[in-house]
Amino acid sequence: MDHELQQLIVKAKKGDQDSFSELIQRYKRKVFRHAFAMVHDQMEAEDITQEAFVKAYFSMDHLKEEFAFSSWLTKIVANLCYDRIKKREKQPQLQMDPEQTELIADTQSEVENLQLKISLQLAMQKLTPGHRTVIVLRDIQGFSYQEIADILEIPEGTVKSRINLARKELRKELLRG
Amino acid sequence: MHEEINGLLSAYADDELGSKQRKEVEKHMSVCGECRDEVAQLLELKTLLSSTYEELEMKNSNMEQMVLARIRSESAHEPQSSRGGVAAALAGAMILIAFLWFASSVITKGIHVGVTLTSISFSLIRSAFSVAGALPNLLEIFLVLALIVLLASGWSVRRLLDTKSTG
Ligand SMILES: [Zn+2]
Repeated sequence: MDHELQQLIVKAKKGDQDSFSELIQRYKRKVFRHAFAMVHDQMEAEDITQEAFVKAYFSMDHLKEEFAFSSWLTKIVANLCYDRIKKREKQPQLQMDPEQTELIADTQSEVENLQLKISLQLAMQKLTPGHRTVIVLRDIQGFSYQEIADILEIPEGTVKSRINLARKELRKELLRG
Repeated sequence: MHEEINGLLSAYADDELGSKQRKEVEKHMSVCGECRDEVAQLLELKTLLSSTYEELEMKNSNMEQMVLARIRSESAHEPQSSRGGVAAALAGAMILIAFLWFASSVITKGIHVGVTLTSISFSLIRSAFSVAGALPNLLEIFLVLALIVLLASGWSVRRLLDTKSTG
């Protein structure tokens, strides 16, 4: 972790809002991506992002080590996403509009590429929140198995087997289309 | 062998295997086309995942200001009221403890001294409150101090009463 970032976190812990604002600027994309990959809804993901930072600000006291800021923040986001998904379990899932694809893409390969990405997002929505979470943490956020174990408070062996299962599920859903 | 190795391929694609297991997987892959294909597909899936979600952006361009505005509005009214609740609960508990403390001595050894001491403890609590009220940030500290004073006075009272009844 670079020294500047550490200083920002130390100052934010003391309640300095300018430093916290800079932390938001640094981490907002990461937080948003996580939320989006969990809920697949632009507005809701932005709302979760906002809520995560507000929550983080008021619980900075609980952050024991500055170097763990990223994991700690991710834990907050992961929990928020879980709660949201639980609340809306019965609601219909958002579907992508295939016509939109043709508007953005020009060439055949671009169309195929976009369709693949849309299929992936649809397949991700079919996974259980637990499976989706480990995929997000590993392949979208790039955390190590050890870090994921710390974030989710589960053994590393469980992380390993859960990622393995989640990917099998995801590939099955992708092939199903 | 194939089944056993197959379960490790996901962790292999993540480069999360120890060197011993990694070598076993590589040895098996050199003879098993199925496992080789699966690793290739896993790596493709990983790339697809990161590229799909990497390019997503927020529409909201002033996230920082919105978060800070919410922080300010929440810290404007929240802490004071919750602090008041905690203070009230603490004060209630203190009065109860003080009473229980005195009760055993007072009831058995004479009401006269007890009444005096109870009124002393009340004025202590009252003064603690007025000081704490002037400095809301230090409310908890004063309450704890008041509790200590109360306990100390209670202890000296018991001693006093003991001396009185024996003497
Ligand atoms: Zn094999």
